[in-house]
Amino acid sequence: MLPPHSLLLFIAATLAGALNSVAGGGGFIAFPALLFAGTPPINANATNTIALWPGTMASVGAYRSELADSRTWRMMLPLFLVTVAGSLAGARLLLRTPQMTFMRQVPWLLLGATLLFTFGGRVTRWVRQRAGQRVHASRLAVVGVAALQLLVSIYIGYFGAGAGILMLALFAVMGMENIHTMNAFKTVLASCANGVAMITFIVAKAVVWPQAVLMIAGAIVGGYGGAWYAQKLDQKVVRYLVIAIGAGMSAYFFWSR
Amino acid sequence: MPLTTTIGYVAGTLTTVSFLPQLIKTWRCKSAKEISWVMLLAFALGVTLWLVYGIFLGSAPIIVANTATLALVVLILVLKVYYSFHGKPEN
Repeated sequence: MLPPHSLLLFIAATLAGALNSVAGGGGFIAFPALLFAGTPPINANATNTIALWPGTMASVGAYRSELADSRTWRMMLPLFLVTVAGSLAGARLLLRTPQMTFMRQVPWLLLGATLLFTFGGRVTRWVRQRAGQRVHASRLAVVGVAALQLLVSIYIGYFGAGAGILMLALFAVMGMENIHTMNAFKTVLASCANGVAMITFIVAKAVVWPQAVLMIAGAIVGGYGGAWYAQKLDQKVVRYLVIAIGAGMSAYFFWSR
Repeated sequence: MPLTTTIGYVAGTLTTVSFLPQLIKTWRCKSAKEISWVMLLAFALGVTLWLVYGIFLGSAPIIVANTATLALVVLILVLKVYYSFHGKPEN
C-alpha cells in the first residue's frame, strides 16, 4: 500500500465513520476509496464491510432502552433467522461473482443506493401516514415479510448500501409505529447481517487486512467526531451531502466504465 | 450485439413487462387478495435464483431482466403484505 493510498483510505474511513454516525451513507466514500487505492472490487466490498462494522455495533449500544421490550423481540425473531441466512447467502454470492461482473454492477449498485437514500425516507413516511386500521395478519403474510427481509439481507451481504432504509420501509409496511423502536431494530438487524457477512469474508480470505485495520481506526475516529458534531449539524444538509456524494460516485463509475 | 444476447434481452423485456399490468391492477384495486401467496413467494424465490445464476455466469441479459422482474414482484409482494397487515388504506 503506497503512502498516498494509506492517507486516502484513512481520511475516507474517517469521513465515512462520521457520516454513518450522523445520517448513514459512509459506504459511498469508503468503498470507492478502496477502489481508487487499487483494491479489486470484491475485496474492496469485503474490506468496506469490516471497516464500517464497529461503527454500527457502537450505535446498537445507543439504542439499549428501545431494545428492552421482549414482545417486539418475539415478533422480530423470524426476521433474525432469515437475516443470518440471507446475509450469509449474499456474502457467498459476492465471493462467487467474477470481479469483472461485479465491477460492471458497481455504478448501478451505487445509483440504486443513492435513490434509496433520496426517496426511501419519503416512502416510509408516506406508508406510516396512510396506514389504515391494523388488522391481524395471516401466517402467510408473516412468511411474506420474512421473504422480503431475506432479500434485504442477501443485499446486505452482497453490497448493503442503503439497506437500513429498506428495513425501515419494511417495518412501516408491517405496521410498526414507534420510529425509535424501528431505528433500534434496523440497527441490530444491520449489525447482525454485516457481522455474518464479515465472518464469511474473513474465512474466505477476501479482506485486505492492512487497509482494513487502517480504515477501522479511521472509522472509529470519525464515528466519535461525527457523534460529537451530530447535534450541531443540520441533518438535512448532511443528507443532501450524502445524496450528492452518492450521485457523484455513481456518475463517475458510469463514466469511467 | 450477438443474436443470442439480443434474444436474451427481448425475452427478458417481455417476461418483465408482463408483471407491470398486475402491479398496476393491485395498486388501483388496493387489494392483492386474488394473488396466491404460494405463487408469489415461489415466483420471487425463482426469480432470485435466476438472478444468482446470471451473476455466476456473468450473463448481462439474465442479470438485467431478473433484477427488473424481481423489483416488480417485490413491489407486488410489499403491497400484498401491506394490505394483509393494514386492511385497506384510508384515502
